[in-house]
Amino acid sequence: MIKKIWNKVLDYQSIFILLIVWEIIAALGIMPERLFPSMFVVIGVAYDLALSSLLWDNLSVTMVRVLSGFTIAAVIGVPVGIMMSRFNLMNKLMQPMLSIGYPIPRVALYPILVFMLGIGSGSKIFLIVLECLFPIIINTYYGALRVNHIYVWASQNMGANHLKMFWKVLLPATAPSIFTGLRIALPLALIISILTEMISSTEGMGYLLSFMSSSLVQENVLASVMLIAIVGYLMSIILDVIQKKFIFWH
Amino acid sequence: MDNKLLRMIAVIELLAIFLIWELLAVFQWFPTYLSSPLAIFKSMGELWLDGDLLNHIGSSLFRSLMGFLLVVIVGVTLGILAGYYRRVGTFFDPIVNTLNPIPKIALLPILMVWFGISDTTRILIIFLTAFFPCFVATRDGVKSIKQVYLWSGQNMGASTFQLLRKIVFPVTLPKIFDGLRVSLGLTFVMMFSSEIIGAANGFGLGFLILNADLGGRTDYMFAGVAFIGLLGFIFDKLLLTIRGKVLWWDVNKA
Repeated sequence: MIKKIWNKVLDYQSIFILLIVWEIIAALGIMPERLFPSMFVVIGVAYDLALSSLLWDNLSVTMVRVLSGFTIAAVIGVPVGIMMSRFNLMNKLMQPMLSIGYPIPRVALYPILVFMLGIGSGSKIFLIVLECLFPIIINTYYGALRVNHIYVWASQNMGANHLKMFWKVLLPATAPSIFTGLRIALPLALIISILTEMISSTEGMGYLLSFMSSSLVQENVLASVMLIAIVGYLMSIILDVIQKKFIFWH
Repeated sequence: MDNKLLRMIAVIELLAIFLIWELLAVFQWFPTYLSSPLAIFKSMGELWLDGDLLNHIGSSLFRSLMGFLLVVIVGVTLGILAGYYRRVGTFFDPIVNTLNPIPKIALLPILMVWFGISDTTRILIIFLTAFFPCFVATRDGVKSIKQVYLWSGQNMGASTFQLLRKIVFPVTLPKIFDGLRVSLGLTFVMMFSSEIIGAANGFGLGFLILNADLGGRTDYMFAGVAFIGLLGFIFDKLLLTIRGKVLWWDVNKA
């Protein structure tokens, strides 16, 4: 039992080393205490924050933006990627758009989107969709290209139409690559949401962060960063669970 | 698919979009804040002739390329070590697993208090964001090397350093370039975001856009966005060209 715990500690040694180094720096007072609070203080503040409505109000706003943007991107991106692999015309029309649009930092469009869609959720969700679309489409496309031709031929032979082939053959066969794309897109969605909320917003985790940092109390800022980190980590774990559930054969 | 046809289609599509946009603007079916392509080209020319633009581009590029250079050096080195030595790998795994899904932009307020609103902060935040894709890709690339290569190298009496330099590094190079391409894209994203959040006087394309936004000059905003887009596009193509030169033996080109 003790050995098991010790092995777990050894696995996560780097985290503990980082924490200890942080605590030593904080305790020795190398940096001013206002700028470099002890982790225990931060955890306490984070706990207080987690019990307050301040966190939950802002978190729910951010999550709505992240999830709706991410879902829209997935719903558009996956069929487009699969269609690109099946129809030559679609591929020829989309391929140039992808190769031009992919390397451009689309975040720079945000100030313009604010003009078009207002400062509320609309512009933020639209930017999240734009940013998530590319990794999803590209990964789906390359995954769908690698689908074994025999499966497609067999389903055609048995008289499946396009819709049926999409649901029964292409989608399951591409699922692992689709999840690779989603795995890249999900953190991006959270980043874009928080970033745009930091630039201009009155609610959301990004707003909470800039609100806390304007008070210059570093414990509060670190606590909200820690909470955001936990949210990001939980989201990636949830995606893992979903992936294991859906792609049990992989 | 032949590249020439694709390039033609791309040009035609872009021209079509510009044409429709221009027509909508001319007939005023668009709200005026959406400007028009011709007006944007004109203000791009104005900015170019103005002289400040080169300073803006220079300081923006300095930040993003410094961050990217740090990523290349630190990310690739650590990635190779973490992939080759098991102990280093297990040391870094928890850090990467916990820090990777976190939006690094959230660290900006903290870094700002520690290092001030300066280039150090911006380069650090660019580095932190772009580090992980490069590191993960390199590590996974090293891990997937065929054991036969390593054995034959050892058999012929290669030292560890030679093994890393002559076998591990070249074999991993395609994966490294894949990671670097993602990192480069993130570099430009973070360049823009760090400039637009830590508002300060100075040079940078983010400031240019921010100031145009405050002044309500949407044509200048579009021009700034176009310049950032162009930079991102040019550097992506540059990286692909370098990849083509270095990896002439790699069959499946990106």
